[in-house]
Amino acid sequence: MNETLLNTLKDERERLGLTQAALAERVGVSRKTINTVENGVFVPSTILALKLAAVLERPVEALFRISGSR
Amino acid sequence: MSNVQRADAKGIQRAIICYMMAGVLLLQAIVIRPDQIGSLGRSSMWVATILMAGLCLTPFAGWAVPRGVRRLLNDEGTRQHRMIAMTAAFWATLLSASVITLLNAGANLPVMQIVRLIVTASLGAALVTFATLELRAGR
Repeated sequence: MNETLLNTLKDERERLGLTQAALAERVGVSRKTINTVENGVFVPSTILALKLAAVLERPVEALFRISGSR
Repeated sequence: MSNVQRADAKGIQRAIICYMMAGVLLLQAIVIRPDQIGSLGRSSMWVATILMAGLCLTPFAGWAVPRGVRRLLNDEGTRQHRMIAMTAAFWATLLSASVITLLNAGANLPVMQIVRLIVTASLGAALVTFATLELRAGR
């Protein structure tokens, strides 16, 4: 089974008019980490996912979903 | 300038230093002849390079930058890059050791030369992998 984590981080960030750097500042990580999460390169920890959800005012499941193919 | 911007700039600097250290390691592997390995000067220079290259891969490398920036420079994204770099080092060690074992069958290279080649391959792979991942993440 091949599962990937999809996210709507970029859309939600842009909805609030935030740049990657501004979101990174609020969450307490580097801009690189935000960039890699947005591009699906890096799967964030639960703590980071919860922080992102809090800053973007969305539930975690609205930001991230699993796309699986068997 | 915010901490995030400072961390971005420092991250690029760190990646460039990693590439440079990998280059220095490779250069030393090429320039230092097997008969020079025993000399104290050459050996100390090599050990110093190895320690500096190793330090580049640790979170302690940014001890001089403010704590807030240092925290961003070693966040979970960077920690994952470090982990991938260590995996690359592991495979480079296995591969280089296998190649040397095969090629050294009749040559009998000195032990120090073999150690030097394996450590160079291992650290070089880790440095290049880490630097590439860090620069790619910033794009």
